[in-house]
Amino acid sequence: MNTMCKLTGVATAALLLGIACGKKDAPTPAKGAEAAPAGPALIPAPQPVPDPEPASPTVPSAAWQAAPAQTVEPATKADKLKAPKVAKLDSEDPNAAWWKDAPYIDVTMQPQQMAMPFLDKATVTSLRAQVVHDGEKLGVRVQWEDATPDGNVDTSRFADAVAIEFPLKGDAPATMGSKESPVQIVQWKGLWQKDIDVGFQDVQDLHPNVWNDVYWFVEPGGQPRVAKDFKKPEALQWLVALSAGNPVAILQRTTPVAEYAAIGWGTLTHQHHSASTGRGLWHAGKWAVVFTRPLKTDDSQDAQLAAGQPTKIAFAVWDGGKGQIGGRKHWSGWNDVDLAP
Amino acid sequence: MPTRDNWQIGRKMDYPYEGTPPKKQVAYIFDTNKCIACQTCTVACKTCWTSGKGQEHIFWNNVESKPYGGYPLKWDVTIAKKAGVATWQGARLGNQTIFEGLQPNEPPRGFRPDVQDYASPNMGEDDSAGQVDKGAAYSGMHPNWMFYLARICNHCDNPACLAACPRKAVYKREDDGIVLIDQERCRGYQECVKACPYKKSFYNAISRTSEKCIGCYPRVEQGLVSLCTEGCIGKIRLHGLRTSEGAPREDHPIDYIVRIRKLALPLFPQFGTGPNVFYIPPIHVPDVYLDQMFGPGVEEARKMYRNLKTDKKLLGALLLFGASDRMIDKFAVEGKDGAEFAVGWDDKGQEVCRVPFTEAVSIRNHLDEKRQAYRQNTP
Repeated sequence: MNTMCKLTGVATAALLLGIACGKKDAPTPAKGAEAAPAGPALIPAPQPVPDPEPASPTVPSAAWQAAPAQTVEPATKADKLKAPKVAKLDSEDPNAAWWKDAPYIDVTMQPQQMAMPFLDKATVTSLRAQVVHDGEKLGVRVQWEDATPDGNVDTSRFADAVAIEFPLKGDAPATMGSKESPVQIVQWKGLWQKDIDVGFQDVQDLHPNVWNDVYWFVEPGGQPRVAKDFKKPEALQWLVALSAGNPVAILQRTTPVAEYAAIGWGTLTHQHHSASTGRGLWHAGKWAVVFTRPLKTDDSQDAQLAAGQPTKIAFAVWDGGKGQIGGRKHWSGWNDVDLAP
Repeated sequence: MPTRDNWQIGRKMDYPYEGTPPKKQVAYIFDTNKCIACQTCTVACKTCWTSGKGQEHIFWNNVESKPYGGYPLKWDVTIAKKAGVATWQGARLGNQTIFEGLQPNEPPRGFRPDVQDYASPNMGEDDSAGQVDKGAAYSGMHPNWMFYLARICNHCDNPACLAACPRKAVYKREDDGIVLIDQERCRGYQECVKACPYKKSFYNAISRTSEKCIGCYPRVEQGLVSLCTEGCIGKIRLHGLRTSEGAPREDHPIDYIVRIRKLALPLFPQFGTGPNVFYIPPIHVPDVYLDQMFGPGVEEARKMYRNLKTDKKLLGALLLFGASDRMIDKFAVEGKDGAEFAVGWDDKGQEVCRVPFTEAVSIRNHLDEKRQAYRQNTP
């Protein structure tokens, strides 16, 4: 047995036996601890166990989020979101030319502290937002500071994300909508962007030293890749979320965004029809993410927009590297948007 | 916050949801004195349910060596430290459960293991509580000890995983109290991984959802015991549906052993989740350790276990362990001195096992008359 485990084990026995382990925060010894048998007294005082792995991204990927040739920085600040009309919104590139001139606002982000679980402390306080349209499609660009691009997936590992929200009716609360007034939400995730940019992160990417003797019904043997080699349905039978049609479990992802409907806290539900697209780029400590969607759709779960009409938009952002996921997020209230005629 | 009765801690406690108990409650009894950590249960479970990609570290069933072993690493010491040392006033818990003393909207007190805590599924295997001095020899009771602890999801009365899920993707079934994660609704936030004090909810990085023991529900629906129970070669397990409402039944083996005789005890009842895997405590381990682990009643349980020979009904109930692949709903001891049987019936009244208290002995002569050959005492 290695030293680390021995020490950990000592701590286990010491605690459960009610023996203080010498640390300041050690619990008070339980009554009767003095009566502990001779055995554990032989154990040397425990030493602090060093953390063998820092809580940082598990998969550094040089290929992912390499600096683009040039980056666009929004130039015009406005006091209200105005969506100018552009000739043709035919790209999700955050560096597309029109993003330089479209007016931006800086949206104040707050830690979510209304529904369980809370985000204790805000780590992103501001998000720069722009909106454009071309008469057919709406484009939303958001940009915020984040020191690391996180596309992590593992136990206690999370990905960066950002979401935009539209009301289906004027009075919908920005806090995930309500039963009477639903909202439409579109979310972009760093994990999904990484799926598209560098491929699905398999077990061997996350843990290069892992060896598994056999994956049933999979050819070839060795360490096959799930997105490529797991072809027979019986090979996929243990991926229950995938079989259940859960969109988080898609192996062949084609877009880094997903559309949802919500009617209150805890009700976020994936929309089966999604017309939204997007793309995220990280450069020099900043994420820039673009969403596009048709102004009008035939989907009753989507907000219907029109040139010349006002709407509202709210934002949410997550720093995956800091353990932010689900309700542990930053959010904003509604921001009025004027779509140019 | 609503409150609930928790018989395991002798008082009411806070829990985020109101709720009526399930009609029946899936429950298990594990006899730690009989477990040899062969891991047949682990393999039976894993082969059937968690052989997929992303499930390499997922052990819905595991067997760890106490005091040092634990999977994920240090799960028990970490949560025990967070929850505090349990203080009991008789059968009443003095300190707070993991659901109490929280801020409004705060999830149950928990922690999320890190990736490397899943790297070694059987760390500490077979290590005893202390080192033996050079030249020391054992005589009588060993001063050092260890024992095996088989663990599965406890299908708790008050599940912390369910309480923590912001999406209500975790639910407890009405008919049998099995706790499941809806794999269509889960979004992999890992709040259940964090909240479950027993760390029996696992994150699957390939399906990107959390997964947990499903209590072999497709088998339970057919009246069959779980695979870990059926596979157990040491017959240390009894699996069935215990009475969840009203008085426990004298003729129900789990009710009788757990509620009426209190021979089997819940694991860390002080957490307040109301676990439904009950352990017959090891008879050779110091109380001060076991009291934290199984709550009050350890000494009484051990006395009872030592006296089993003269405790016919209790012994009869224990003989049902591993005796049938069907869940036993009713049992009785039949027969007279020297020829008693423990008889078990399923919920349809069908007899499913008849276990003799004394196995029939057959003595074979050294010479096999028929073949005119001598029998050798070799396997």
